Amino acid sequence: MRLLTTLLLLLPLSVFAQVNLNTEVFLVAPVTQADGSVVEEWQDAGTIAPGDKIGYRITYTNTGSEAVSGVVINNPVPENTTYVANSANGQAATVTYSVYGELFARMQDLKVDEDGQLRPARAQDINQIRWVLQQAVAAGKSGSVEFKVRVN
Amino acid sequence: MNKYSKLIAPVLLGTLSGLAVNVHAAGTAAGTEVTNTATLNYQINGIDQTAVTAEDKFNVDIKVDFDLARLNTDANQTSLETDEVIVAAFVVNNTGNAPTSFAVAAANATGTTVNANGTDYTDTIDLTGTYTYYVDVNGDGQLDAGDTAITVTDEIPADDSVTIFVVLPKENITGVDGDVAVTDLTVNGVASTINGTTYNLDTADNDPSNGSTDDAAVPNGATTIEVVYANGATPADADNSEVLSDVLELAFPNLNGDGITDNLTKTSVVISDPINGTTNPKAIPGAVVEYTIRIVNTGTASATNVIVTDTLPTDTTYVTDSLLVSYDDLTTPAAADAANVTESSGVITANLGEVAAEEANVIVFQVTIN
Repeated sequence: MRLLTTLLLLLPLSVFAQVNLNTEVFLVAPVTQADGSVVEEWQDAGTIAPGDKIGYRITYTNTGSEAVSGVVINNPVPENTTYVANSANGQAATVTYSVYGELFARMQDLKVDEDGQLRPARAQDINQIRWVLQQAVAAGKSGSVEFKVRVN
Repeated sequence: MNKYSKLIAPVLLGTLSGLAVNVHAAGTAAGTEVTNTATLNYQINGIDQTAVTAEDKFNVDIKVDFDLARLNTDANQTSLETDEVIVAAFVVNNTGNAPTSFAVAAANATGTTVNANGTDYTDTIDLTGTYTYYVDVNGDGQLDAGDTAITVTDEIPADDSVTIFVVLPKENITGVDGDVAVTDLTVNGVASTINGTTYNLDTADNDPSNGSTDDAAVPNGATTIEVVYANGATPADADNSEVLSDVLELAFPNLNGDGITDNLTKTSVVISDPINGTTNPKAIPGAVVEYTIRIVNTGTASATNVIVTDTLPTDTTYVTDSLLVSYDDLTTPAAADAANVTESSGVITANLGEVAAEEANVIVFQVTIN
């Protein structure tokens, strides 16, 4: 009887989690193509050293039976890395940034107080990235957002 | 400024300085775990649901990167007065992100030219024998008794450096004043220890010759540690070897001359005689004769403890207080140096001390003919 109660208690938790979230890391390397042009490729992240550019892809999937709305993804820039300017994007998502992690704004609206002087925020000041999906995610649908950093 | 002024307040200087602290030449230390955490908030039918998070980790790999520099701006010099001679001295800078040990090996760089402090030195002699490599333990740039002989250094921390002296016994150095020996030092990274695990380093990417499976040619996952050979400038030359030349110049004093011109000369002139005075004086009894002794160092090193002695000719008498000396090559010295240049019982003794390279000293004294 006690076992059954426990199972019943656990059941709603798994039901509630209707969105599956996954983050993957890639090595972003310039690769010279056959025609001589250079294209950034997202490669297997087996080897990552200081100075390398790496890309994070965050994939969400609506595993439930109902549409989910108001989707907001927050991702602090990992320690020991520096955000690469203009690298955050996502399908039908509004990207905002934060320097301190509480208030978010578009990059061009962020300012930093440095020694009492206000200056526009730079990519290396960015501490957190936020994606706000403009539309609901229908049941069974998935999408992804991504950003790049450089390893310090 | 109106709409977004609220955004300004939370920006803390501490956040910015915290970023700056992480930026080292060597970069993030090898082995450091970097975690990305994404959080997703959502609603169903307008009702907030429990946020979901996802995490992904990787470990920063070993970046092997180092450079060599000559310790001394000028050429190393030796006059072979010490038993052990520093033939080359290098600083190994570990600019990678892991503590790394380095193997060192020196060799003659026959015929090559090294520029030291604006002067070109071209190798003229080869050195023989077995080099000994000393680590400058106390970092004073000098070879001391406490410095230890090695062929592989200890692991040098990232962003740190070590000075290596390449030493030979003086018997292995044969040459004449001005000869130049250029020595190449080849340095390879040997091993890096990260979190208690030692990673042996290959000679280069894709080179399995030492059996290592740790290099980037065989990436085996984001959270294992591989070795990247970033050694060299930009772009990385992807090897694990650096070579630099240093120069040793043989520098001896030369008071002997070159076989054609003597470096120690003595000339005399009759100053006056009792009959003619100073007009066309003759070397007759009672005449005063002035001797000039000149010693010149035509070598490239200072001569030290130089002592010139001269016994007065027979049948002459020293003219009291006539002894003068010039340490600046003046042909008519104005000053005596009673402490170091003396006459006693018919013997002139000039204790000249150091005669620098390319410099000359002059001693002048007078006698009368008996």
